[in-house]
Amino acid sequence: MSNKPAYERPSIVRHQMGGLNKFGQDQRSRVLEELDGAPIADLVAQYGSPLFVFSERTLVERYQELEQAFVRRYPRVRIAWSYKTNYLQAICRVFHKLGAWAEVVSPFEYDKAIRGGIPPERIHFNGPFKPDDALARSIDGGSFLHVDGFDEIARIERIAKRLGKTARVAVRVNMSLDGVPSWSRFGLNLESGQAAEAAARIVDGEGMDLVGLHTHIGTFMLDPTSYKIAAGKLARLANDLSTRHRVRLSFIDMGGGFPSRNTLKEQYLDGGQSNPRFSQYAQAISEGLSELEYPAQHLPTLVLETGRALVDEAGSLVTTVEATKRLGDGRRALVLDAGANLLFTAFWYRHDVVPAQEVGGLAEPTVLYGPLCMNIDVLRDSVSLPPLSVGDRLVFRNVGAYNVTQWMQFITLRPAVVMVGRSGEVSVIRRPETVDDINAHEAMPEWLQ
Amino acid sequence: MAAVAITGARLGREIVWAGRALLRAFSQIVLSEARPTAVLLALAAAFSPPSLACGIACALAALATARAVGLEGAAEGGGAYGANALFVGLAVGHVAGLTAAALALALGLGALCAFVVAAGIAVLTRGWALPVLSVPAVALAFLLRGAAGHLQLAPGPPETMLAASVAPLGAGPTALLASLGALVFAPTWKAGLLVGAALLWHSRIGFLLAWLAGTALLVLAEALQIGRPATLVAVFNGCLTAVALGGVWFVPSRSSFALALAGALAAGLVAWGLAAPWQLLGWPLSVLPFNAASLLFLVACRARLRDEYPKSVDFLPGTPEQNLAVFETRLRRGLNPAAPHAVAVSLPFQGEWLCTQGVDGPLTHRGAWRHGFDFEIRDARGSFHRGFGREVGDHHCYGLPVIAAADGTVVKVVGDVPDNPIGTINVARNWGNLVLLWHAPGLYSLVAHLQPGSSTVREGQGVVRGQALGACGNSGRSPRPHLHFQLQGTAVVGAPTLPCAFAVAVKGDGQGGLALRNAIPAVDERWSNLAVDADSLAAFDFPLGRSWNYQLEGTGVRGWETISVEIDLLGETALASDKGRLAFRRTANELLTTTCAAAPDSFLQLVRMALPSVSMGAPGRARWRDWLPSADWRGRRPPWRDLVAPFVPNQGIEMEYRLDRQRGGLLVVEGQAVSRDPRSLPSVRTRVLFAPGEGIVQIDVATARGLRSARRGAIPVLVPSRRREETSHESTSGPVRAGAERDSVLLARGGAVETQGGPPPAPPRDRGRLFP
Repeated sequence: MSNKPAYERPSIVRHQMGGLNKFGQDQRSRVLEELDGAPIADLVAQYGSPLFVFSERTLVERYQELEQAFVRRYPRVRIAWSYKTNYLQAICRVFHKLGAWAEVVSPFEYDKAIRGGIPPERIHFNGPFKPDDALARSIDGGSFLHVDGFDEIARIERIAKRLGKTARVAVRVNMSLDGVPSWSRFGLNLESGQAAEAAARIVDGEGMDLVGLHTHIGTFMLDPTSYKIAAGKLARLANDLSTRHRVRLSFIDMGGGFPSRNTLKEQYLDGGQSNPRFSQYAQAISEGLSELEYPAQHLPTLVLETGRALVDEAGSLVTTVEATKRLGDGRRALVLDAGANLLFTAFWYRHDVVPAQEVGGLAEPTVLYGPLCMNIDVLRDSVSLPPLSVGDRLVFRNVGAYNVTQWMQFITLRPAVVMVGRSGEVSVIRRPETVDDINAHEAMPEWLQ
Repeated sequence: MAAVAITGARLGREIVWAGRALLRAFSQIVLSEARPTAVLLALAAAFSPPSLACGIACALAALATARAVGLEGAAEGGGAYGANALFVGLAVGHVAGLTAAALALALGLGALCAFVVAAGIAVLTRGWALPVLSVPAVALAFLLRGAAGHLQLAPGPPETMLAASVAPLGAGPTALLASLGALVFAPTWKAGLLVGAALLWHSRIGFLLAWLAGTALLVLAEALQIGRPATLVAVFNGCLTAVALGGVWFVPSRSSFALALAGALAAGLVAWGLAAPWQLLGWPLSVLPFNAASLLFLVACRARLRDEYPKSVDFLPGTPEQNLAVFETRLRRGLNPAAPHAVAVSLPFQGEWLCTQGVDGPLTHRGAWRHGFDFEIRDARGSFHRGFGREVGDHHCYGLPVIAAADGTVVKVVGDVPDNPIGTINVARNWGNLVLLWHAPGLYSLVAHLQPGSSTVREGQGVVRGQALGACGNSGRSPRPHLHFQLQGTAVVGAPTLPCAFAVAVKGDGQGGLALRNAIPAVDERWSNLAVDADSLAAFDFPLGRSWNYQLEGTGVRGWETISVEIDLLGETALASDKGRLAFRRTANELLTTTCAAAPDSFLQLVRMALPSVSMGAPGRARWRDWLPSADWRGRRPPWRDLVAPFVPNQGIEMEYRLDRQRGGLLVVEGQAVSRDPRSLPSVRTRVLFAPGEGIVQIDVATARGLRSARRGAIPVLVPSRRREETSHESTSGPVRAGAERDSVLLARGGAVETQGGPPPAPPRDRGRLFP
């Protein structure tokens, strides 16, 4: 970068009232020149743009923060890494090395966990889709099966009997919580008595052990109290099961849903500052679980399937400005080399966007477009940015969750993903796709050759 | 004919029994069990043939009587019966010479001696937990003078137990040797040389103690111009006392040497003091000063408040060298009871907390309250609170559960002291809200400064380890929220603290933490309880009754060894083979190998080095330390090293182990020495592959002496093995070949069953990676 001020084309900018007083928008431009000590310019020079960068340090810190928040309040805690949130092997390995188990929701994720070296008895197999062959493999391996309905219980019973094994089964429970939209499509309903009925069916069935209860009350839940109510309801159900069936559960799974530091589009305040901390959720859940009437030394393990809140902050997406525009209504617009194809979460977050180099000039509301030739490819409707030029870099913060699993190979290829290690070393954890990768899946009919 | 043969065989067995018992009796004179020592002492006694003959007669009479009556320990040739009678007999021979009457007296006193020893054991050992030593011999020696007079045995009135015809004593080595000879009633330097050699064989440390004590007493006698016969007795009594105190009943160290010299001086003073009156009475002094001084110091040292400097031998005593090794190993492995109670105490909180004031802390852990601990929580940014921390609720530790450190009963609950505003303290009710638990007689634990009204327990209620007691608060003498924990001896709030070490705790080090035994948190250290992994706990077990075959190869080891899992009458579990025994136990937190008595080339030695303990943390995360004695990595140490061993830091090596999981469900425990050799490589590296619940699959141990490995497998057919030869009963009647084949097939099948029922076969040895 030269010291010469960047040339800025003259334009007429509407006066911003907020700029004049101390309550207005902060006009100082933030700059993020390096990620965990790795200069962004060097990263892009070596690995190209766009580029996903993951910070091992942040992964470890968030994991330890979550674990300690709960472990300090409840004696037995297990974190099961939610594969759907980010199943890059290196990311999973970081969590597994810290002691995390695996939570998978499909045969594909199950196999991915097994290939990653996770012993089957450390996998929670969840979700509405468990075909027979996947059930057979997981029963044989001793995984925990979180049943979604009565059909599945019957299938598990049949397969377990055929294999001569005992399946370790948990009931996924859905419930109504005040002020929270009920996720009634997954699991069995608590209030209608379905869940208790399913538990009885499992206890009475053959080749099945009832080992746990599971609920997942929603996603990006901003009110910890909901967890307290849900945990209390599960605790009362567990008490009920122990008196009625003499079943002592080995775990209670409170699912995930804790928010990351991102800001939802409908949130007014900045999520990084207003979203509750892990300790508040831990306090709520441990208060709810205090209703358990279990002896202290036999309390069930509290399982957490936190995904988003563990990995979101660790991921950043580095993009390059490909073109600058001024729209017909006078707004400034930038065309970036990464769009909705890579940043799926842009549909519901106001992502934090920071320039990767010093840029002079007044900040003004700017629209960020992706590279796709599609009208929906908008990353930010309006974000206050200084006048960036072609070739400048922008960093999207907190993009570690869901993007590298939900991204699309659509119109463009998917870029490289790198990880910055705890001692500063950088390594590719997923190489960029090439045309050969895409073509490799295809076949040409004989008559067209 | 057959009857005669049986009688002959029985006689042979009796002779062997008597011979062994006699050897034990001789070695016991210098508190030893070693046979070469016994032989040397017998040779020394042979300088006075009448003494030796009467001594043996008396000892045999005592042993036979004790066995006939069925006194405890007699059938095994109990050392106390033989040794005491031997002393008495030696004295008889010395006083009366070798006559029929003397022999008869020796036999009679021997028979009597059995009862005196039994009574001595009953009173001293059972009653007061003291060793019998040679107190019975001393008691019987009093009878001797009277009996000898009446029986007109004595050739002349002996002035002391020893004839006055002793050569003039100086302070030189000859005098010392003559005095040592006097121990077996042969006060010549030649006999003394043999006694000295016997002592040296038994223990280098013991020899050094005896030499120091003897020389000191001789110098003192020279300086004070003390009579010679008395000094003769004083010196060997002093030597014995020094060995007993300095090495046998106390762990050899600088302080035990000091105690030994004090004991020797006491024995000398007793000898010199009693010499004249005893001479008037015509009683023999013999080993009375040794018994008096040793028992005096043993009893007196029990009144100490802390058993340190010197540390008493609170395990089965062996040679001074063995005592030192056992104690050092126990100490360095963290197996020593650090506090005077047997309750395993865990940390009174969940998760990782920071110790902000430890033992002898500068703020309040002083004087009678020195063994206290304060804990708080500091976040990754180094702050104890959120925001400005002006409210108690902003502090990370505020409101977190406080848990019971061990099972117990709630003795006292205080819950009405309000939380202080940040920065202020309440000295009127300085302990604030608290819960006091009773764990064992004389052992209470206190958690203080709790949140008002947070207690979830009532007085009189039983609690289990880990049960919530209340919440961390800011009441009492607490300017900001923190948790105070202490052990104390009484139920009074504010009682003086007791030393406290946490049985197993994990010290945070940024890499998942290091599990340590008998942990004592210090300021600025992060600690947590070990999060026991249920799978690890289930995996690391040696199921009773199982047995496995291992093939050993490498430096100094070769061939097959069959290991089985046993339990003895006292409930001690052990891995055993025909080469020895390695005891192990499982606690709630770890698998721990303890005493090992096995040949140097045994598989068990590899287990002890590569798997001294397993912390039951999660695979991939669990790390812990243990300690190996020097012999494991330096080879056999020269005997002269024993002489300095009590004074130099031990030569063992600290090891760090980690647990991980391999593909295929095998667990792997890798260890390496914490210290590095000149090439900056760890001087010891170990690796164990463990099949969950199915025992060890493979062990590799690399030291400076080379690489040793053992792999589990089936003994191949037709390979001769020691075990087969022992178990084959057909070898005499049938063709040797057929019997051998049958047994080896059986063994091979046994091994094959193991591998079938167990885990998949061990992966190929990956030496390149482990030992580059």
